[in-house]
Amino acid sequence: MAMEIATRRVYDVLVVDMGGRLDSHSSGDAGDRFVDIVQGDEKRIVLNLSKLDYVSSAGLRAILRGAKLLQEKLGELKICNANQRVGTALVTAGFDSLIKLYATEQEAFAAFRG
Amino acid sequence: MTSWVAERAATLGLSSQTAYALQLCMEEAVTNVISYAFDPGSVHEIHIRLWCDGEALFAEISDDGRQFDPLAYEVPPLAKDLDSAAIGGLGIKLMRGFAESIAYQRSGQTNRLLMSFPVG
Repeated sequence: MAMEIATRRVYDVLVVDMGGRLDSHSSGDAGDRFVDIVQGDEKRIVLNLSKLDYVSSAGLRAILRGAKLLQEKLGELKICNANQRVGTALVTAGFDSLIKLYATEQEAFAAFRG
Repeated sequence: MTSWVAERAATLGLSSQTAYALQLCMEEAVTNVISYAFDPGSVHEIHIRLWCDGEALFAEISDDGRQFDPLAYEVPPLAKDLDSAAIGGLGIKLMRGFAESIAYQRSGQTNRLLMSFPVG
């Protein structure tokens, strides 16, 4: 299954929808695309993983790289809607102490406002 | 390898959770071998075997590269913030989290990694 990345705007938040498999095959291109997005003008970005079926360490590194770049320009990345298996991978890798994880997009938006 | 593992997982009737753990650990293990056990540009063979004894699923990865024991790899401690977060070591963390057991053996010129996963 190919990796899919799409963006949409919800008020002042840019939502990045990642779908498919984020693995050692796809993470190069997907990571470059994600870096392009975070290096744009946006500072509030929500990464919605509801359509992501699989993530490996290569994919996690791509997300981490983007989160670090965003923080360097005083922006913030939040992650939402990860399925149970992807969520377990995020927590196992320790991402829950680095990037805020939310069950829903609405909770991620509310956290920006709060 | 991804499609081969997916086909075998379907043939063995693995749950989606076990199939995910298998795919993830296989990808991490083989990526580690290619990254750390081989010199760039050299030609090697990696053999992978899967079998199930009814209670557990076993995955064995063997290669003829230099000695590389992923169990001996010192995983960086969990970072507390993004600034100090290390980019490396994530694959080993995932393997240790998703496989029920991992064993490494060096026999002659061969690295052999055996992982097990619960089934049923």
